[in-house]
Amino acid sequence: MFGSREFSKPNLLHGLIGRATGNDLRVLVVPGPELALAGGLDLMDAGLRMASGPRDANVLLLLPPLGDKMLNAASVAFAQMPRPRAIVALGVKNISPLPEADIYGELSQAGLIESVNSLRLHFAQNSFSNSVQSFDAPALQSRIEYTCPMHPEVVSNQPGSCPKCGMDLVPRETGTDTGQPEEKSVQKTQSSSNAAHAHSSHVKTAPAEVDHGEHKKADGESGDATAKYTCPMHPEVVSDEPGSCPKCGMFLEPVKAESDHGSHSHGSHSHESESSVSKLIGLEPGFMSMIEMTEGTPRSSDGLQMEWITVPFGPFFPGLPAGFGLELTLDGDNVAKATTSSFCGFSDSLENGPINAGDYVENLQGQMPLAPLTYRLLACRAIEAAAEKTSENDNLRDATLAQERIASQLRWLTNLGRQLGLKGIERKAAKLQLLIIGADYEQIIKLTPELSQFIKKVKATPFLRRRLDAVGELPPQSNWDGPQSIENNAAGRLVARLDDISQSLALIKKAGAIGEIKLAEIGNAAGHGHASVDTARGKANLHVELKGGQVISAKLDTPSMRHTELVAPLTDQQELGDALVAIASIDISPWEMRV
Amino acid sequence: MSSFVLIASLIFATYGVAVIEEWVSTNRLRLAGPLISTLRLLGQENILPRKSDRLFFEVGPVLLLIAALLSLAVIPLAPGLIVTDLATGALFFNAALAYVLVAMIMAGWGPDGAYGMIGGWRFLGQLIAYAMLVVMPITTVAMRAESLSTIDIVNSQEMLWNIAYQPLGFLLFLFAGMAMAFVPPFDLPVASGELAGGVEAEYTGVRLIIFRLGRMVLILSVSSAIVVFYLGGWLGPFGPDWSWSMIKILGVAALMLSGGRMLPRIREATLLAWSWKLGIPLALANIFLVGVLVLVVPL
Amino acid sequence: MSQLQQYAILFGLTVGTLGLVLSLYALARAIGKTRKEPGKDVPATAGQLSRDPVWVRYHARYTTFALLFLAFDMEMAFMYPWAVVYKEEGLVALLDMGVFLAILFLGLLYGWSQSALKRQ
Repeated sequence: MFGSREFSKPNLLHGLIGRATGNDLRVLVVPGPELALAGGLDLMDAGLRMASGPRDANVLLLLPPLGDKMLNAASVAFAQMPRPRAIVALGVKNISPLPEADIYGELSQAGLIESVNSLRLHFAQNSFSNSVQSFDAPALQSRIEYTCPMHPEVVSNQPGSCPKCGMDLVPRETGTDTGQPEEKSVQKTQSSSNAAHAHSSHVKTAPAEVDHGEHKKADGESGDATAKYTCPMHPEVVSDEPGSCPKCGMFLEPVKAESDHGSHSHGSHSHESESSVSKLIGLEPGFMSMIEMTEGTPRSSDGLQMEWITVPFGPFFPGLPAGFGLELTLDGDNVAKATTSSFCGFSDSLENGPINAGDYVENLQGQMPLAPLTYRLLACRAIEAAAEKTSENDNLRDATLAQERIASQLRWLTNLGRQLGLKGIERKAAKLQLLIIGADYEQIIKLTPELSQFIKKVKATPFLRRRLDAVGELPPQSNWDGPQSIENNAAGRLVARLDDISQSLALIKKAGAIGEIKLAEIGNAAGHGHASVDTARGKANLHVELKGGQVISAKLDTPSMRHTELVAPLTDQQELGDALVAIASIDISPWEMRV
Repeated sequence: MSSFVLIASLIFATYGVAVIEEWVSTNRLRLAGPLISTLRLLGQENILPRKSDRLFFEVGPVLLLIAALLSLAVIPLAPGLIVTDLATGALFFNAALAYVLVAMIMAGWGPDGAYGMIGGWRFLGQLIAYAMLVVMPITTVAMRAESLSTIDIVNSQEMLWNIAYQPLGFLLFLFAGMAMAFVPPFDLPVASGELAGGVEAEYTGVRLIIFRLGRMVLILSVSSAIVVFYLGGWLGPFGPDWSWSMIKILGVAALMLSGGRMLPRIREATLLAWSWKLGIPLALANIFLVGVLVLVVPL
Repeated sequence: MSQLQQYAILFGLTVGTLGLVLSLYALARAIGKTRKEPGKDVPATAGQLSRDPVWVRYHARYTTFALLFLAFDMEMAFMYPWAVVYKEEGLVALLDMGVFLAILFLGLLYGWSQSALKRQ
């Protein structure tokens, strides 16, 4: 059991706890709650509460589609969830590196409710068990690398001194995914020492031991051990003997390698976590002076020299798009730098050679779970353009697109509500989204008054505009083609999205029905075709090349690909809360980013 | 007998606050909710983050609970139904709750996690915003009562409750109290959408029970202070005194917990600006106004 | 009840709370031990394993507010005793404190004009 706590003879209290756990389910959704909404799952209705993070969760809910990167992130989150915990997989089978799911179910509201019922039973029976296994995954392995406390860009696999400032590199733990040949030995030591310690499961000491061994080995091999004197101005000048620098004539200073190494091995032997922490961040008493400490550290906007930290805000950060790998470098709570990545991006290279036009449409639709019909339409249009066919029911197709736009904007509102703590908006938007996605024409028309009322309510939320006004001003001439707003800020984009819902409703009403999106018969057509579709997030373009009725190449350009470039200018020197709102306001979908 | 009633009603009120808290955040009323959550957390693993500052990590939640309980000790539910009737009650209330900040910073700093640390420091910013707006209105309450004893303060309102006598002070104290108890929209340090749990992010199991309990007692304590300082404490037309206290306290707690949900979360920078540019001038004006009022119309 | 007894009660309350907390911890310990697993004790950051330490010199951006706060908080120490005797002393007390508060308020305005009341 990977989710139970170990206890050989559970008693009455354990039984009570198990039942309480089953009745108080906190769920961490992978990839994220918007996928549940897009799939028509009402988590609240099924008795699940959204967890704010892995520590708060006791259920990991897996929904398709899941890529390797997403599963790796899920395994990290699962490892950090406190036991008793359980995995529920709806509509997915293969979830390695995660352990086997405790509950499998089908991807539907009925399947979810059934799974939650079995989950309650599962917790009641298996919260405590006598056969318990430790969970491990490749993403959880670590190795030691060495970095300069002043120059974080200097990273080495071996201890030594920094080529920029000559300071001794300090060890730091890191994941194994940045592949370099030398790391293999470390990894091996790590896993074998893990195995040795698995019984007593004293994982904490393992890195320290590896660290020590590595250090010793390096000590014997590296030439640094013999370098004794260096120029304070020119660290590249290294000499065995005292003397003066050939470049500037200053006296060479002794390198403090000896004292550092002494304290280091002491730290490893005593297994004191405090001492290894102080080593890590260079706060050891007497390690360096204040001037040395601040030398080379980045300067903030107000001229103070402070230390910056790099913090991941994703892929499962509540209030940001699920699967969006945002990493912020923070100076206090100001954002100094933002990097983005996707845990679930698409790939438009046709790896398995040419593919049937019909299959291509399905494929693209499957890769975009947040806007499946939109991309289905895009693929159809591009292929039809290449085959020089025209579709007759364009109006109905646009109505389908409009329906998906409404759902998408409502999901965005749910996220915004969660981020800003507006529970009412979060709940109502989610409820309306669930009603919209499955609705036919009549039902949408029936929903119109409720939607209009909701839009009015959101617009009238006190202080909401004020909160969003000062946030998210796009730089001039930026590549923005999402909903066009009058005001260039987050408040403007909120209004634009709300108006988009109204316009889409009007469009559906005008079309009079909602059509299915079917690819026209193209036969053995050949040629180039280009099409674009106005998605909820902006313009998506697709260029396809057909040959004999098959797609031989495709090039997709999505709004999120262009809009991710706006994250850096939007967040630069913003307060963290404002930065998160600004990122939310441009509604990036990580599914629309390249892998 | 009276001490038994006191303890029972405090436990009942804390539980009530927890029920209301869950009700407004999930829109679902579950009377057994807090009990079930407590049982779940009791059976949950207590994860100690590696390389954490163990002392800070352990002390944070406990200090929060103790500070909140001590502040509650000077709140009377009825004449004679009070833990300690200190002559400096109102001051003691304020002094005890100063430790909330210490607890939050310790709990945020301890685990060496980014979300918690930022949450803790943000709460410090929040304190700089709310602290003056807690003490200045308390002063005007004491001016009218000519005493810092909470019992005297309630008795001074026999003619007219302070909410009518000094409404400005009431509003300021209400907002400041909400910020002190970090209920929405001032829940920046522990918000889910903002910092994925913030200060709470690394706490699991029994430590989280203590943290949440501390927070509930804190909310209870702030709402009872509002009742004692502004809503005439136990004063009511009929029935037993303590029941009026309880009704008012739970009512204020419900108002505090639900009212803020309509507003977007307020960042500490905005709160600081509002508080120092508007709140403190208003609080100073309130001192002056009440000063004149106490001399001219001493009700 | 004498003052000393009252503080003894408060001390007892503190000790009692500590006792309650400790017995809860003991109960939780009896329920089961925390299993050590890889990655579990790393502070959680939304699905990525961030092992970097975050204990750095934090760049607080409200330092000017904090300085003003110190001045005001000092002043509040005088306000409490003043408030208690205010009615007795009458108009004189109002004038005494009025002058004091006016000076303090001017200080706040000066700080405002020097843009102390904004995020640094």
